[in-house]
Amino acid sequence: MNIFIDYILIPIIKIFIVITFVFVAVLILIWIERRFQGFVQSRLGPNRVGPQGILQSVADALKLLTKEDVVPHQVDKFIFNLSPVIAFVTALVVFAFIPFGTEFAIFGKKISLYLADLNVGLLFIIGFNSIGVFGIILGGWAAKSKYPLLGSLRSASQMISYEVALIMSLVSVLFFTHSLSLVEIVKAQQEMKVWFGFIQPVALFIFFVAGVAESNRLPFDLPEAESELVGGFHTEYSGMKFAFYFVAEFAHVLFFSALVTILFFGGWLRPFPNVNWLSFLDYIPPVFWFLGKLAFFVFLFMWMRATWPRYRYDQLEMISWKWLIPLALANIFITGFIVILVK
Amino acid sequence: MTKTYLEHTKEIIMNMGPQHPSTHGVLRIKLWLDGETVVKSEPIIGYLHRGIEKLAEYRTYTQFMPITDRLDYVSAASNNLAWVQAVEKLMGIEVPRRADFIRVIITELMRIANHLVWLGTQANDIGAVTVLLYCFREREEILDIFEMFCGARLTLNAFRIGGLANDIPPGFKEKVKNFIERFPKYIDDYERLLSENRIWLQRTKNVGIITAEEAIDLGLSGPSLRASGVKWDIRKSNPYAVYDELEFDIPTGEVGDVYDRYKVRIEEMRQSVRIIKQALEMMPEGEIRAKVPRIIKPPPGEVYHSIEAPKGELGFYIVSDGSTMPYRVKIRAPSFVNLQALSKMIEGHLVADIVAIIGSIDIVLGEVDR
Amino acid sequence: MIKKILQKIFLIDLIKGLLVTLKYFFLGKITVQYPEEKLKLQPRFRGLLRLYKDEQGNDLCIACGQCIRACPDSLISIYSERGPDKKLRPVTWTFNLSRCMFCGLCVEACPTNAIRFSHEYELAVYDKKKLYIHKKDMYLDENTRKYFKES
Repeated sequence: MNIFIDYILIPIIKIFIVITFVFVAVLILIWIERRFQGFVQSRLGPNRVGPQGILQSVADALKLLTKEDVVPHQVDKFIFNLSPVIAFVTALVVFAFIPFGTEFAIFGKKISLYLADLNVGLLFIIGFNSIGVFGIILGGWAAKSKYPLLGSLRSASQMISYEVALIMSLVSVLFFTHSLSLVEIVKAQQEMKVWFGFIQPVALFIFFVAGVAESNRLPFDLPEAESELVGGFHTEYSGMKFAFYFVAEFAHVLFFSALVTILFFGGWLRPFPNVNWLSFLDYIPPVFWFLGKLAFFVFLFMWMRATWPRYRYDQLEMISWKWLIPLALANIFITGFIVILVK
Repeated sequence: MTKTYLEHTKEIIMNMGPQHPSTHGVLRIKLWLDGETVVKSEPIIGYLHRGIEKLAEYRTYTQFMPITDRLDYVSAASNNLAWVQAVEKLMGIEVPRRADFIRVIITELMRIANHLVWLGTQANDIGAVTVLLYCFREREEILDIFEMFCGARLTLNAFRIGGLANDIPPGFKEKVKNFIERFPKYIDDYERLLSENRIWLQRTKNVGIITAEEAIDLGLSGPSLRASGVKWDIRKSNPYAVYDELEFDIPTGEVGDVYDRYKVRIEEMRQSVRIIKQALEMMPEGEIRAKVPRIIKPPPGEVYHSIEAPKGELGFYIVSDGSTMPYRVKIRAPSFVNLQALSKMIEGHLVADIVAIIGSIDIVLGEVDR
Repeated sequence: MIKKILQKIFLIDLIKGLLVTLKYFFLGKITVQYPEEKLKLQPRFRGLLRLYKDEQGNDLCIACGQCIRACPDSLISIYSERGPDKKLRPVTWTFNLSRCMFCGLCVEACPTNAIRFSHEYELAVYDKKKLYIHKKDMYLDENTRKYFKES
């Protein structure tokens, strides 16, 4: 009985909760992004469907579900159907490893707020993210026409360059934690009483920029720049397959914000743990601290989208190879040096 | 003996079709690409041809005026001004001063409106989406002023041969003054968003360069010519209406790239505000229409008159044979001539630069195709 | 010089842009929620063309034909007859709305101010025949005010 509850029932419930959380969060994110962009542009966003327009994303999802699935006749059918699935599945799977908070007890059972905690969790997550790139490349390749081909090639080169920068900026964080497991990283921040964002600002900056580039958001959204290539790699997709790509992009935004909070901003820890007169903040469950920080970074993503123009793709590559990667390397050396000196 | 596996590479011919989100209208460009670099390009026009020059031969001079509105539909009052002044030159009519001042105010407001549309669409093509909405918000206020003056917002039909149709309504002066007092702050906002932004600078500096000699050879005019360093403005060299009594500067650029054209147009907006302020103060009382016969029959002859439209030099060449309808009208549209420079500017650049360059020449397909 | 380097490192130019958009996030919005709210039109607004009557209820139109000659596209057609008081009155007055430019030349040409612009702009119809407006619908009274709204 115990085995049943421990190893089958609770994980299934957690899976459902995580998937629901991601879907609902993506729907709400789409609504928030449109309202936020509208407010910044001196106009109201969608506010007719449902109270204050919350059901607008639901209406969009229903519309995409009932749309005709137009498949051009020259495509490679297997790959054409496979690529949105790849992008979508990899974007969802990585949420299995993200810890939302500390353990809490229900009915005498200790339940941890993550689905799985591998020792090499971080490596696994980044690896899965790289597989997601295949979804984009194959999507443009399968629709055998020039515009999607150009878009997918650009996106492939962009994602490869920024993954190198992403991983290098993580190495400097690992000097302090001696573990790749995400839960251990947060616990290390708790022991050191300082968040890694404050002692590794360069790594934070590089990671954030690389995260924006990986999720194809402005100012790095050339693969799907509407005004230049009509649609980039998803020109030939319509209906639910397009919805998969769309959800995958927003899931990426959520995912990178979550990674930034866990790695650099303490995950579920509350700020100022040493200050005693702020101890009333302890009564707020750690989940809400995590979600609050997540919301702040998502807001930052959207703010950047509303304001800045986009880079041309060769300038994109130059930023990564000429500035971010050397900076990350220098950061690794200096951090290692300082750690050895201190110890 | 080594074998070469790569025998030869071929350029792909790509079509940036008539339906595209950022060619401003139905413009089709055929590109010969080597990877992502443009080797050769050929613009193909004619998708919006409406036969306006032929229509003119079957309408009287007054009846043709609302049709000139639809040439450059973004800045409609300039086309009206060019036509009206060409006919008055042919007939030798002298317009009263009050009418001239009001014409100048309307034309300069139209120039600001045109540059706002240009800025919004160019920023939108390069990726900054909020600037589009801000520019259109300001344009709404200008269009409200036009609605107060003549009843329509876009296709104005504002002037008549010999002066104006109606005098300005009460409250017009205060509204215009209110607008031009608030407007320079909005231009500062756009500059804060774009002018020093490193992404914008990287996208627009040294892109689409055209030197002064090439510009004069190709027949460019307007802000594109001034950005290459040539100080040529028809308002200063052949003044019409009351421009010789007003004080304003002509901004010029140095290099002739997209960034210089952007700077020149932003500065032109500020100079337009200056002109409107002076015209509002200097406006005399008086009549608004000269004594013109009911039926307009110019003497036989021909005339060419051009003005500094927001996009360049807009000219009308009218041949009259003495009847109420013109014998032949030829329109020298600035966008048509400026478009010829596109092939020269795109050479050697990437596909992503094409949109930036098309936006900076500021074309409107209504003028190109007529 | 140092200021420039510091500006480049700390992305000051990018942050200035961010602050501009944040400022507009808190300022007022200019959306007009149509159809609950409508924009206020200026007095000279060029809406739909209408014929007008004088205080006694007689037609102001004397069927002189100036508006037909002024229109660039010849959209008006009138058939007139002399009435018992020896004055020309129009019997049929047809106006083709599907091609009108709203240029206003007919309004200027009319000597008795019979044809004027009203303030109606919601002109969509389902049936193209309704765009050829005949005399009895050109007047602005209770019969015609619902003409366009209900179709």
